[in-house]
Amino acid sequence: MAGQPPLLKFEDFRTELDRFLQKFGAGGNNANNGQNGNRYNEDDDPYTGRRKGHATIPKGDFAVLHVARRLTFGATPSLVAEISSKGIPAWIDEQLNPSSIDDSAMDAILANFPGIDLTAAQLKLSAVRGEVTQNLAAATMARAVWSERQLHELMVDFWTNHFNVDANIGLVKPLKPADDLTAIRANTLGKFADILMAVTQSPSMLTFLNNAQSRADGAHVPNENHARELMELHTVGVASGYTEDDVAKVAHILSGWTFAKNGTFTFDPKKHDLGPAVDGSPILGWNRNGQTGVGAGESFINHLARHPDTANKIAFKLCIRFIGDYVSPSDSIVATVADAFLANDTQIAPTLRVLFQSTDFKASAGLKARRPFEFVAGTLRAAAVTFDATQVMSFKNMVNSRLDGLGQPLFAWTFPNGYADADYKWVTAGSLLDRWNFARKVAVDGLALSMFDIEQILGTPAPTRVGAVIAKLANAVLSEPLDPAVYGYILNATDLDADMRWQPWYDARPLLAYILQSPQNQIR
Amino acid sequence: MPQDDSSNSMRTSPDEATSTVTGGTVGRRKFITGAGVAAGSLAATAYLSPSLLTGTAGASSLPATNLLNAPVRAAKVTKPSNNILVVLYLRGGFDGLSALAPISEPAYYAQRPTIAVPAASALSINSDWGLHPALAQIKAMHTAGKAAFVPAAGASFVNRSHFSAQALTEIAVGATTTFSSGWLARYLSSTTGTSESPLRAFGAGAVVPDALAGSFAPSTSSLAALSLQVGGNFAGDGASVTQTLNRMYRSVSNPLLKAQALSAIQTLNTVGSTLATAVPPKNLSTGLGASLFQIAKLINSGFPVEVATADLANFDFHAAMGSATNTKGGQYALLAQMDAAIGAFFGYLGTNASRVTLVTMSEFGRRIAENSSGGTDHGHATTMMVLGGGVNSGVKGTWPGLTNTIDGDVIVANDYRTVLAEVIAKRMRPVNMDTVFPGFSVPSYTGVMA
Repeated sequence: MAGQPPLLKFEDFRTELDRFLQKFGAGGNNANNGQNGNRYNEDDDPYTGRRKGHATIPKGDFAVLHVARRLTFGATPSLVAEISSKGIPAWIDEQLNPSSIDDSAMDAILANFPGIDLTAAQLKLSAVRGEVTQNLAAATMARAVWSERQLHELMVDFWTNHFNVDANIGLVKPLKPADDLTAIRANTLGKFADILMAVTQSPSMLTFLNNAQSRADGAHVPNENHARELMELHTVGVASGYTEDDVAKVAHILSGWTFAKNGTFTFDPKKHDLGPAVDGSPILGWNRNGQTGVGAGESFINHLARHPDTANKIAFKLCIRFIGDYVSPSDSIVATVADAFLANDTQIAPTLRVLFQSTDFKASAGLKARRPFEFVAGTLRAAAVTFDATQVMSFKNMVNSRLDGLGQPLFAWTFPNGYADADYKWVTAGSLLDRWNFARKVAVDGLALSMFDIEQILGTPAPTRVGAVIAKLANAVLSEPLDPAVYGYILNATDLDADMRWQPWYDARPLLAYILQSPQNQIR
Repeated sequence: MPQDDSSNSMRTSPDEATSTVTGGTVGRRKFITGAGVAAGSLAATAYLSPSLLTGTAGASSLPATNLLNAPVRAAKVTKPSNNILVVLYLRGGFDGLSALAPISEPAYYAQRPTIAVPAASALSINSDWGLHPALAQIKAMHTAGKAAFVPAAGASFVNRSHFSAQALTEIAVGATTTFSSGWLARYLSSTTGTSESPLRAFGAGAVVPDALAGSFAPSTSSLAALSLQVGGNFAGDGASVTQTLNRMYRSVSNPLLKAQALSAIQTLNTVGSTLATAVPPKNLSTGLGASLFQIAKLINSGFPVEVATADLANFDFHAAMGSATNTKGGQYALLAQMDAAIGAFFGYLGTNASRVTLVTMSEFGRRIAENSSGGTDHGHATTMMVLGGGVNSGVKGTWPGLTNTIDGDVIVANDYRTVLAEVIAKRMRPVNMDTVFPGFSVPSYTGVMA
């Protein structure tokens, strides 16, 4: 659709990919095609049950698995079972109403990350002031891994990026926890109009985009940063046709929007002047109708929230997030979601429900790769890592250093547009190496956090044959059977046969490492 | 400069990684050798092998394995002679009028009462232009005949959005929002030989820049990540791990995943353990310096890097740029960081420096007039810098002045692609420029290259 930011379209990438893959003798877009002696001999595959005495794992319900992967930070066998038993629509309804889900275990975990529920004024007096962004990042990862309100957490991440601020900036840092809690989390599945208003009046955004210090009184020219991003990124987008004059007018309308020392939004009339906006000519279809002061700005923001171009933009981004980015989402699904957004007065939950019911969503299984945050969270979920309060520092350091290395440290993106939601940005050669190393580290020493129990995954009684051990580990980690070819490669690496007895001195950790390194663990 | 592929003995053939792989039981590596290790005592064994890049030992006293011993060809490296283009993207809207000040224009001082570079403080280039006082290293390069500047440069379309302007200038197909791969990816793909090193291009950052989108260049924030952690008392040797990963990802149906994984494995095979431990010199250990250090290390280690990218962000000074003589001011500090990193980069390159040309670009410049916050808002034209090997020193291109403006911004009189095309044409492999910059007919060059 017109006016969206340039998106790397898979169709256009395909020639390049094909050429590259041919060069490597790896075939085109087809799966393993038997070149280079890599063909896996299915006749020898215990996984398919062709030989006796080996585990055969039934195919899971693929639709359930898709929902479990795409609407959470990672599928687990128990989650898949839960969705299966409740039914997809009922489970989605429950997730869209997060307060109905008991998350008390999560609340207990959060107590280990001090400062994340403090206001700027409280943080000023707090010893954790300097590390609060790291604490918030670790708490956010903890929620992604252990919260039962998975869809809510995914949407928190969506809005956190849509309304990104860089919380490593000194002035923003103490303001971000309150922004996270009261602007974003409080409205995550509520009304977009409410989240937009809350964020626009949030001290962290007012600081990040320089509006807090902007003034239009007297000879002052107001800072137009916030005004521009409010329209370009947060709502209608550049293609809606606003002009540079409009940006200047909105900068005047927002002048005086600042916050008090205690960290609450205030309107300072002394810094405010309508400037050129005093003429009352429409901006993006909004008429001032004589409104002045803070009321004029609030009226404009309420107008922006319900503007059709805003609906299209939010719908488009939701489709990118939940359907895929290889191919631009179809105009029709974007229009359908945008219609739902407007018809429900910008309520997010019913808008999402329409998206999740669509054929486009259902047909998008496997088409989206995990970004680093999702990869790390999903891998911890897959490995059944449990939270250990005695290892909080290690967990915190792991979250911050690993995501930094993988290029997605939380709350640290410098630009107001948030992290890219596009596979080509994240699935890169360098990133895969880092992911493989991370997977191996999780498997082999549980990140030195003593949080991970491989014997629990193998269960009691443990499988007795090599092939069955691989299959059981894989099913626990991937919530579905390993791709048969991949299974064969892992088995091949063991120097053992599938029907050999699993000896007590064998070490299952490298097997787990391979499974966590496998392509299936990259899929969202 | 045309490259003779056959001269590069370091390159790994595309299928080398699999040449030792066999489908059956022959050639299997020992995977489970932990005899005597009870299943119940698995938890605490440290397993890190020595980092392949740094040579620093991990915590384990167990014999470490080098997964890359088989394919490494490093000992036979023939020193590459190719030229290298480093593209430094200055993100946030680089204020060309601070970097290279038009010191003879009254309008400059009239509109920037607190942030203009005073003529007396400027590092003089000529009677009309002076560099910001923070740019001492770049001034030294200019004195040595290695620095050219193109003011009034940028994209001809007016787009004051950081994000679409960055994407558009890195995709570089004009103002259209239709997809294309990045301009560097197109250069790479249209000049590719029958066999190339995966390290022909390198992005010094964890996220691939749009300029390289559609290529398979490894992008990483740290070269240490270009190693695979293996080892411990149970693992097969490293070749088995890479072989298994190679096979797993060869069978993926998602082509992006497959291609990038194969590139990663080939990179592992190529880099091997040949990057000697190197302590970053002053100004190359953090931020932009750390990025440029990765690039310099690859070049100095003899890898045939031809294209590399780096970023420096935070030029979006809507407020508090600070005066040009206040060393603690935001603009001063950031420019000084950039300058020091660039100076140290070329210094560390030593004799390789003559092969390297560094070009800076940005999504747009900043408004001529400062705002009430002591900053500047988004403008139009910026200033590009071309530094290093093959440069024809001086201020180049057309300068429209500060009175002939668009919305109060400097007019773009020199398309950024003209500058990039000149560097490519004069220094890099022969290429059809219409492939790199589709639909752009390159006017006469600005003369940044000798």
